[in-house]
Amino acid sequence: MAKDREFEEFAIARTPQLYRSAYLLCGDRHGAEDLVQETLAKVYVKWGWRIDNPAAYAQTTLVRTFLSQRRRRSSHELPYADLPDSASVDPVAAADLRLELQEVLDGLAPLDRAVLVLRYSEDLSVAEVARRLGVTPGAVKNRSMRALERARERATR
Amino acid sequence: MNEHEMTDLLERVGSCLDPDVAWLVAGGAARGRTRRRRAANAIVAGVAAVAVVGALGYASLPGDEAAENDDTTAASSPTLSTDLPTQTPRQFGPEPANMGRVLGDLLVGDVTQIRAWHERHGEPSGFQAGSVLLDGAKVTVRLERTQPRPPCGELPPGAQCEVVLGGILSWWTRGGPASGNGPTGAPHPRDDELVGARASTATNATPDGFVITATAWAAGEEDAEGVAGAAPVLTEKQLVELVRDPVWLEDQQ
Repeated sequence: MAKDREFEEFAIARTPQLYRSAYLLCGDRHGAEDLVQETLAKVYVKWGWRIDNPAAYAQTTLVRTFLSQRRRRSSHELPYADLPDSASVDPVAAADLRLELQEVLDGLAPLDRAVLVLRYSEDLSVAEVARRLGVTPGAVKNRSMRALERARERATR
Repeated sequence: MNEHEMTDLLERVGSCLDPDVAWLVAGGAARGRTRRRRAANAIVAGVAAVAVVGALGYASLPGDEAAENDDTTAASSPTLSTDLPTQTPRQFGPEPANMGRVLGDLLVGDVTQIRAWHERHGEPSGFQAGSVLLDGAKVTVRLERTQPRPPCGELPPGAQCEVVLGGILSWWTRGGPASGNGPTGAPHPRDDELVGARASTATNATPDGFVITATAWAAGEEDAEGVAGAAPVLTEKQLVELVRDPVWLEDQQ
């Protein structure tokens, strides 16, 4: 029971950040909610084992689960549908942001999106992103540069 | 768009989000509890089946030897009679056509050339398998059913073996060619990096007769030569984790 309480405290503290990453990766509320719950379930199962850095472990689990889910899906769905409804958010501003995000990230490969989120939302170093995604630092640099270039092209259309 | 503008955009989008944290945590914990319970049930079933194998082995001992172990028999018999009926029949987890994709999902790295094949699917002698290229080197996994194996019996020379809850693990590395059943040839000298080895294999033989075999090569082709300096793309430890993944078997509905 103590472990359950510990897990709950950890999950409550980390979920807002996990949700933010999940939303940026999935682009829609329902996908993000499912991804966060799947991540928390995986962390729950491992809770109590020796995890050096639970926050980093949860974040890595979330990104890898996202990539795994995307590999399973053969369809090339277009994400970034809706920003969540929230009384605290100006709906017009939210709609503008949604369009901006859609223009920038639409069509990017899941791994490219994961690189962008970890680099520019989680503010991780190239080496750390590479370690978490299991790719080389060079691949992280190439993918982020390519994604930014694509975003620039889209923004200038 | 530069790095600063990207960071700014992602931050602004993130600031608009207002998730229902309590609901998400409750849902995640509930899913986690369900998984943990299923895993625990699988272990109980595995222990019961291992106990059966042990009891059968004991029953086949010559009379004098059995007589010396009467206390052990008395202690283990009640476990057999109560636990066995609760064991849930299992089946292969992935559909045959999804073997490669499922394998790829479990690997971290650049996964390409996803393939799946099977023979005599559903028959006792059938198998299903999948392969991928992981960072350019081949990885395969094969699922089949056999008669339950004696713990750590009939293993390739030099193989290591360990009996764990839910299965019998074995693993080995070879410098020679390999097939779906694993590499052949002389045992590769065990060094830290397995440099120069052609392939490594791990198997998990469950008490209910399933065998999961995973092999990792040092090159993209099974019979490739001239890979001096390379090592199999997965370590023996990673292969052992791969064959123990719960995705390969599931309870029958």
